[in-house]
Amino acid sequence: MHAGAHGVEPFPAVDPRSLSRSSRAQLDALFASLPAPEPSALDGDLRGTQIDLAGLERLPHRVRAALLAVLRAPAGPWRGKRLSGGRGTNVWGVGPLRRTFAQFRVAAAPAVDGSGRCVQLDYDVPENPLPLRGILGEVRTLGPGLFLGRMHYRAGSGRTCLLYFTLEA
Amino acid sequence: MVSRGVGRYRRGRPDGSMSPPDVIVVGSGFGGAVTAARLAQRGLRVLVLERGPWWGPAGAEQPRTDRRAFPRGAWGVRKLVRSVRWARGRAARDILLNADGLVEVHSFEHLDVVTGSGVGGGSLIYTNVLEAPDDDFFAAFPPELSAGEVRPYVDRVRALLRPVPLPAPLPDKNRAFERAAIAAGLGAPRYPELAIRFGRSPAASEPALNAAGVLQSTCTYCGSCVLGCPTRAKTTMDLTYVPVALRHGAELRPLCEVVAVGHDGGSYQLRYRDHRSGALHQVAAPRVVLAAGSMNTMRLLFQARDRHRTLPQVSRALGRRFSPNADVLGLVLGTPLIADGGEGPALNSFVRIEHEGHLRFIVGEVGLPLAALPVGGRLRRGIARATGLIAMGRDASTGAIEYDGRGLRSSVGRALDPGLFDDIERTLDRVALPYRARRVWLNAPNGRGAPRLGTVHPLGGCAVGRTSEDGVVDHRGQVFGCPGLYVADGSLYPRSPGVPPSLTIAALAERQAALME
Repeated sequence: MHAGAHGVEPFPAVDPRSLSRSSRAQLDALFASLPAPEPSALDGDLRGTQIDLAGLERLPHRVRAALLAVLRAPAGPWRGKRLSGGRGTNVWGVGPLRRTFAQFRVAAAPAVDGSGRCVQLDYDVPENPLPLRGILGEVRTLGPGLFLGRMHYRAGSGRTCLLYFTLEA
Repeated sequence: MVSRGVGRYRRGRPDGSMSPPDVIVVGSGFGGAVTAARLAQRGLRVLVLERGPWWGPAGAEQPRTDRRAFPRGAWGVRKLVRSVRWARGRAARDILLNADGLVEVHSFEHLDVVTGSGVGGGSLIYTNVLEAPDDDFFAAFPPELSAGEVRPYVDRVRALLRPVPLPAPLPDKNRAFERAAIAAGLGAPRYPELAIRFGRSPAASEPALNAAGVLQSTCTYCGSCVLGCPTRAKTTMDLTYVPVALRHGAELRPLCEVVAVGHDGGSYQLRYRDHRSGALHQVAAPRVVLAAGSMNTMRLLFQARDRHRTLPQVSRALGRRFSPNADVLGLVLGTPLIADGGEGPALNSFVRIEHEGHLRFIVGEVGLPLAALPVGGRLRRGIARATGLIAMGRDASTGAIEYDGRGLRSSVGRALDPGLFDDIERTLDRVALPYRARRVWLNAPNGRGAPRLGTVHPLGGCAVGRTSEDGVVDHRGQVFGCPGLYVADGSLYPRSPGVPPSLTIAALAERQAALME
């Protein structure tokens, strides 16, 4: 019997396209099961890919898949993150042009859902415009050089998970 | 048990799922195939991840998605080059042309490296020569690893590959080389053992089972050895050790390229891209054997140490003691002594040039793969009156491969050992003279005296050492500081042997598998 092209793939898929087929509940469960990296393991330029967005789960499957494919497209403006020494920023660009915008502090901290430690990306820094300061990111290790992250938005005492993304070193 | 075919790989369970592997082997060339076969024979669950497809007749039994015909003809040639990894000056690009291409090119500042890709690895495109290095080569290894200690493992490789010298009668090109070598004062060439099945005549095929129980044919003298043997006469890894591994339960996944290595608790994690689906997968095992070829094994370890920081303990000696094995190619164009430069096995004889009783370099004659080239007419007739001279030598082996955070870089070139390369070029010139050629092109394609070199034998970089100060792995091939992580390819060499390295890579892999706990 032949493996790979036919039948069940025995090893988990971790590429953004495969992960984007997961439901929000599956992503939550996956995130909760992952270990936390050392904050320094994230240092450097990380290629980012968005794999889920709040609100899409109620859309028909095909519409959701199409929208997520657009979000994952290499031509999209969000390129990833750049981290160094406890600080980080998001990298944006179209074609060869690159800009950084939306900074954050990096630290090990408990995850907001109580699932243990993670690396937190806290956007509550003076360099950011006020609306961005409510963002709180969380990152865990998906595999060697590969990380799964999510973004919460703090509104009052509540938090809403906005999106999931992957980061690749 | 014997079977006429190569065999398909299997799953461990009837429902299609697979038991977690005990060992993952990355690559299926001279190091990976040997390790996979011997560990599978010991009853370990072995998973082999190979970035290339099954090639040629050896893949006939595999699913269509997993096999490719050797690149032949004007259309097939598009599958010749898999990827180009370009790192010169400030420019650095990795260009993946075909995930299912046959060769990979690394282009550094002063060095081009060409390596093979596919089930069987470098054995698909090597020149069939199985030559043991001189005993003094092992002086560069730790004391546990001597020539005498390695010899039984060399014999094990020979027992499975059954190499023999080129039988008489010799092709025209051999007689021309003999005359040239003698006229140059180098004496008569010796005929090393070749991993080829020869019949009574190149005109008549005589199929028979090889030592691995796989049906092989006999050599037709088509001379296509370095672009893949079309007749199953070349005794490659995909016809020998790989079938042994499969028969003992190993699973081989072709077109699955490992892109990252990490460590989590008690096991090593590998992330690989399945080029058939495009998906990335992860798999873990307590033991991993990196046998992806010198350049790719180094790249995986550099990434793990410096970029992903998953194996920060890997030795700082990584990338050091690199050598191009002093490969130098000379082209003899338009000689009246040869009517068909593509006749017979590519490289089948060479002369030794020694200094104070020690091997300095060898010079051999390597025919051009005319039958496999997509050329015809006058051009083909012109190339038929050409041949190649190839040298390999014991260079200083003090080169370095570095990592810039994205890819490999190197400044290795002629400056590594200029005296040796000058000496090689002078000798090639002397050997070429009796050919009465219209043109002799030394250090092709770069030119005589050029600082730039080309090699098909990148060696070292993960050198065997006594400690992590002078090497990356110990005498068993285990990475210092990383229990369970092994290296089994040409990157192990602490110095260049000056002869084709395949036999020693396979023998060291035999030894590693025997000593692996």
